[in-house]
Amino acid sequence: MSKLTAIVATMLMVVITVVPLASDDSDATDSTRFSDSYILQTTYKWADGTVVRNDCLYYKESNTEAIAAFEKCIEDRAGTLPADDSKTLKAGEMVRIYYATKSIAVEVPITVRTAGGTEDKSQMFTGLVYPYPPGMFVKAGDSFTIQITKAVDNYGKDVICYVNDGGVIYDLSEPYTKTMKTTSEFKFDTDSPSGADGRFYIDIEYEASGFSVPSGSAALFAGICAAVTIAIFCILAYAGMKPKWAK
Amino acid sequence: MNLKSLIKAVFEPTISEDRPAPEKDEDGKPLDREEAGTWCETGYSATDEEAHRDVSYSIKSPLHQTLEVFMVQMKLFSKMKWTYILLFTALLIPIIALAAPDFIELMSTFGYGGDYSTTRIAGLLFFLPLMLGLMTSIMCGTQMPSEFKERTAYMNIPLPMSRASFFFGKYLAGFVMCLGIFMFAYSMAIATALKDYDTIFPDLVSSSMILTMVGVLAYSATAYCIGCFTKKGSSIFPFALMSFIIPLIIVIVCSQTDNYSLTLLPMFLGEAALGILGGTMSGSAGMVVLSSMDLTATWLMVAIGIAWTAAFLALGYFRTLRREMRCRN
Repeated sequence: MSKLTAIVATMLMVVITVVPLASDDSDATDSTRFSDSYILQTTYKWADGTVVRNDCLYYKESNTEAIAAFEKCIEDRAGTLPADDSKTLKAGEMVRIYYATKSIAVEVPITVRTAGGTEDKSQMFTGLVYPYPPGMFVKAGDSFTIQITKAVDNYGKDVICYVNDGGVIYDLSEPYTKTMKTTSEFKFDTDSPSGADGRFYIDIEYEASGFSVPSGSAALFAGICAAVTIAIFCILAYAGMKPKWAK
Repeated sequence: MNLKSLIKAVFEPTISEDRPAPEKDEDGKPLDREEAGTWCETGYSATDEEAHRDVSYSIKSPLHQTLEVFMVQMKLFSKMKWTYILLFTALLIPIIALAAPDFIELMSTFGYGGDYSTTRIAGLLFFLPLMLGLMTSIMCGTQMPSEFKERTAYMNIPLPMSRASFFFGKYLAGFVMCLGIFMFAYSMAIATALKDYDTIFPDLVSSSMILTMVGVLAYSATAYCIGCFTKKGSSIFPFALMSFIIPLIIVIVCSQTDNYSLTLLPMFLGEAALGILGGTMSGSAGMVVLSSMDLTATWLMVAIGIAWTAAFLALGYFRTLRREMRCRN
């Protein structure tokens, strides 16, 4: 029995020890798209007039193709935002309005210019997509380095990326290195949009090293844990059935 | 030797005996019953083998005694309603994640990580540090006191069995039961995360599981030891001590001195198990120091946890060894 126990225990330990070797750390020069804003939406019956604010995107409800393309682009973080219908809106048309903001609890201004002057049609929007800031998974003990070489929003404006490390601000256009004491996702901040402009997405190019990507089998680990659990509860059931051990 | 006989050999070992060769006559044939037996006058006869004459018996090995106590305690656990309540608690992980995804979404706004599989697993095991204290206290805190309270110790200890086997067998059962429940919780959390992710960081999950195992070891040893020193036993006191009182004192000391070395103590093993997965929050008192813990020193935490376990088990054993078996009625 001692031999069998030793073999089973050794095999289990080997599995637990060797499997982690399958994981590899990744160093990369790469680019990604992210959003630092909540994307809100509402529907609005367009009054006579023209669009004043250009920090929203306006799609006619009948323009389902553009709406679908916009939402897919936002969801997939890929593709190019389709041109909106803000120039061709007519009174009485139902319009889908999208707005990007760093705070979800805001009343989004809809300002319309008519012959009688500028009218405020502000209303609350509902959230469509939450911010999806870029994250790089860094394990405890790893030394992580990043430099952002380019950051441009969907309006073509440069975006400043920085990290607040214990109260000290580091501009990520310069190389930033940190040895992590805890396993965490490295995230950075961006400057606030100018004025009331929301940003639907930001494209960045960066050089980074020391972060990791998952590569192990989750099913294998779930199986190992389940096997240990089953073995223990088999012993429990065996002990429960055997009258010899009853008090 | 097949598997069945191997298992039987462990749980039902044959009694060791030193049997002499059967007596034989001049022709080499075994002596018949009338010659070998001593009950001729009464009409009863038996061979030496049948009468167990000249067979010397010895008490079972310490390992077997420990296993016997272990199985007795496991049987008691199989009758305990808490075993199944705690199992159901672990089963709640996939139930909540699948039946109430909005709740999970809500938790994400409070720091519940979900961008990577491991942070999702850490989020699903949000209450692991708290449950570590609660479950080990329930399973191990009252084991020894209930033996004396129910008077079963007065039957068990006089058996041909060492007190070490009695002490460690019961502890082993408590540890194994708690381990089973936590492994169940891990399997549920990983399986739930499988819904959204196919891959994980195996080294991080392994480290987290090892930290949890050592946590179970240390917490259950502490609860078991405290139980050895009390008459009635308590599930609440070891829980409060390990999950609230000591961690809060350490948190205050660490924040005052700005030195977080004390977070290497076993009271923070649960938080470390979540932190190594990338968790930023935990449902426990140690949550406030989670971001300040040095998770590069996990092996030191494991070593301290094992040393803590050994110390508390030694203390509990010392107390059990010196315990008088007199009834003071």
